Parts: sequence; C-alpha cells; structure tokens
Amino acid sequence: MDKKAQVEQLTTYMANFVSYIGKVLPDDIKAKIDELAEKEDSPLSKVIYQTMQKNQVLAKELNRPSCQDTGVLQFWVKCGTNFPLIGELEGLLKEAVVKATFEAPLRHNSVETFDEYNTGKNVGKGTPTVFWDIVPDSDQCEIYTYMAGGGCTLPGKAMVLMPGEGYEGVTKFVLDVMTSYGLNACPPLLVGVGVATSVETAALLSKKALMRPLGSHNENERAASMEKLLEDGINAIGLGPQGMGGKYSVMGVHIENTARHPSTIGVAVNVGCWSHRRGHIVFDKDLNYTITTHSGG
Amino acid sequence: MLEIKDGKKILTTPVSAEDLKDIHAGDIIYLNGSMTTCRDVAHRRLVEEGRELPVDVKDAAIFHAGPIIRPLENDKFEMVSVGPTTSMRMEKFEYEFVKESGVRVIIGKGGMKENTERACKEFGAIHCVFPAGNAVVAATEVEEIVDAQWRDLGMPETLCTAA
Repeated sequence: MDKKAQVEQLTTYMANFVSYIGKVLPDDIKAKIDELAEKEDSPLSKVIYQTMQKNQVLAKELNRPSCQDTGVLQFWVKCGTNFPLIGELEGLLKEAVVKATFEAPLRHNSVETFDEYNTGKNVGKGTPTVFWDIVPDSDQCEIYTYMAGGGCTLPGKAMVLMPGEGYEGVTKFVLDVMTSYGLNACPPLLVGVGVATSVETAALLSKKALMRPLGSHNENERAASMEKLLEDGINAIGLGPQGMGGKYSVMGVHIENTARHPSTIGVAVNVGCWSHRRGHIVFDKDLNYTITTHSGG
Repeated sequence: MLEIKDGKKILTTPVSAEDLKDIHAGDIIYLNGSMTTCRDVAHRRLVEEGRELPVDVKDAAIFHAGPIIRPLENDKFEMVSVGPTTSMRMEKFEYEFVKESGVRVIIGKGGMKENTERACKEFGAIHCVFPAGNAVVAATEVEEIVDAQWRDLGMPETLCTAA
C-alpha cells in the first residue's frame, strides 16, 4: 500500500474505533457494572443499575453514543520509531475525530478559549489531545483512545505538597476531591492518582492511571496497598450509583508514580465516570490491528 | 396534571403548583409533555443579560443537558443521545430563572442548593435527577424535537424542546 492509502486506511480505522468506543463499554467496565449491580442492595440503586444496563444494550442496538457527552477525545500513543506513519499520525488522528464526529455522531465539544466559540467540528487548537511515548526499535503503534467528558474532567486537581505532609497528605488531597466533586462525576468512579515530583508530572500520571485495566495494581507493594486503602476509604463515603447512596462509590483506584525531588511530592487526582469509554488498539506496520479492551471489536 | 397509574406518579405538562404538592423527596416520577434542554449559557443570557428566552417554559420542564442531535429534512432534528449535566453549575442563576420563566420541573444531575430550594418553595417547582450517562434511554423517550433555538450557541447549548 502506498503512503497516501495507508494514511487514509488508518484514519478510517481510527474514526471507526472512536465511534465504537462511544457506543460500547470496554469488557472490564461492563463486568464491573454488572458486579456492583449485584452487590448493591437498596431498591433505588437497583433501579439505577438496571437503567445503566438497559442503556448499554440500547446504545449497541440502536448504534448511538451511550452518553451524550462524547467528551474531548484524548489519545495516548505509544509509537515505535519504525512505525511507517509516525510522522502523519497526529494529523490523521485529528481527521479521524472530525470523521467520527459526523458519522457516530459525536457532540461538538471544542470551544476555543479566549474567543469563546464552539468550533462546531469537535476539534480545535490542541484538541484532540495527543500524548506521545516513543518506543525504540519497534514498528508497532499502540493507541489508547479516551472520551474525556465534562463530568469526569471537572474533579481533576493537582498540587505539590511538602514532603512533611507525607502520604497522609496525599490521602487527604485525594479524599478532599472525592468528597466534594465525586458526586457529580457520575459514580461509580475509576480514580486515577499520580504521585510524582511536580504538578504536571503528577497530573499526566493520574490520567495514565485511568488507562490501566480494572483490577490491575501498582507493582510497588506499598503503592498497591494504598490503592486498596483509598478504594475502601472512598467507598466509605457512601456515594453509590449516581451519588444516590450505596456501598460502592468506586470501580477501583489506580496509582501511577515516579521518583520525586527531595523537597516535593506532586500529587494529582483524575477520575473516570461509570461510562469509562477508553479503548486500546495496537497496529502493526501493515495496519493489521488488535483491540484489547473490547471483545466484540 | 398529576396522575397515579399502576403505582407510578406521572406528571404531564402543563404542570401547576398544585400538581406538585403530592410529590416528595425520594419519589420516582415520570414526565409526559414538554421539556426543553437549557444549561449554562441560556441561564446566563436570561439572568445576567436580561434576554427573554426564545422558548416558553412556563408550567413545563427544563433539562440541564447538552444533547447530541442530528439534522433531518425540513429544518428538523433527531434526538440521538441526551442525558443530564451537573446542575450545580446553574445553581447561581436558578432562583431568577424560575421566577422569570415560570418553569415547574427542573431535571438535572447531582443536586442543587439553597437558591433553587428557595425558588421551588416560593414559586412552586421541583428539582429532580435523571441517572446520568443513560442518554439513549432518555433519547428514545423523546417523541419529537419540536423546536431548536439559540443554535448560535453550538450543539451542547442549543435549547431543544422535546415533546
């Protein structure tokens, strides 16, 4: 295939993938919703979970976005240095979003700042977001695709603490955000926590944490223990589905961490809503692909 | 109008203050009739800029929502997907909004506070929530979009009146 045809092909695949993830939840999220639906026992939570399950069936059947807030599209790219379309990728991802916006259809969610107008195309200056990791000596390309809606984006927060505040400070920071903003982010939530050296390094990690599969743990034993403690702590707030009260407020807590400056602890929180529309697709150099997050895909 | 059918409390617009008296916190209710999506900018235009709403929502319902709509022929639209947004963003304006517009049912997400509570008591209105992210369930209940105003605001902020 020549380059132009390859670019068109990849654009089409990604446009289809973006539309798809807006309509069908990933396997791990679907399984978690079913699990929590069983575990909650108040009549109102049962009704809410039943509505959620019915909504997903209808979305697939009628081929419509399951939530009207199809978010700002964010892509986390792990691109091999030998992947043939490494140069064209960022441009074609933007095209793919424009295409998917028309076809799915997606909501127009790009408002240019300062001039304050909706672009009407769901892309704008710097949107979709594209994060890059470069993988040496590989000819593959992995792309995480995420719909960052308003509800789950609003609670985002990052700060730098003094090390004297300790991991208790980290916990307090996370819980302060969850007790105030958690309700409006459409629980049950996936909570991403970044622990790093500065505000932006922690923030990026907190979003990366949301890309991990449910049930995964940080490799560090203490971090994994803190993931569990935070999960129990946030569940104890008793938000339940939609914040209408219940035993479970979160689907999981994921911590991603790096080393830090001796004088600082950067901490960040980022959440995913119950309709956690993230997808993971891997392309080889000939554009054969595997979707790891959705078995139907 | 409020009727109770098979144990379900069903409101049909036009709704009077009297109709709301038998509805209590914690009830699940159903709605028939006219509902208009109305969120951030529409609230600011009415309350801060003193502009008249291009839609009459008196004795009807508003939905804090930014829908996905698809254009059909004859300047009509299809409701593809619609669900509630965070109502707290409208809290600042809601007292004035209820006072000026005469709306009776405010549907949203996550709850509201004292301004809205005061407006509900004083003018006869209720605030209720629809479970968020269930946008196809809600969209399939919309029979028709009868009007789409203030389209200059872009899709999420356009006032769509659903019947």
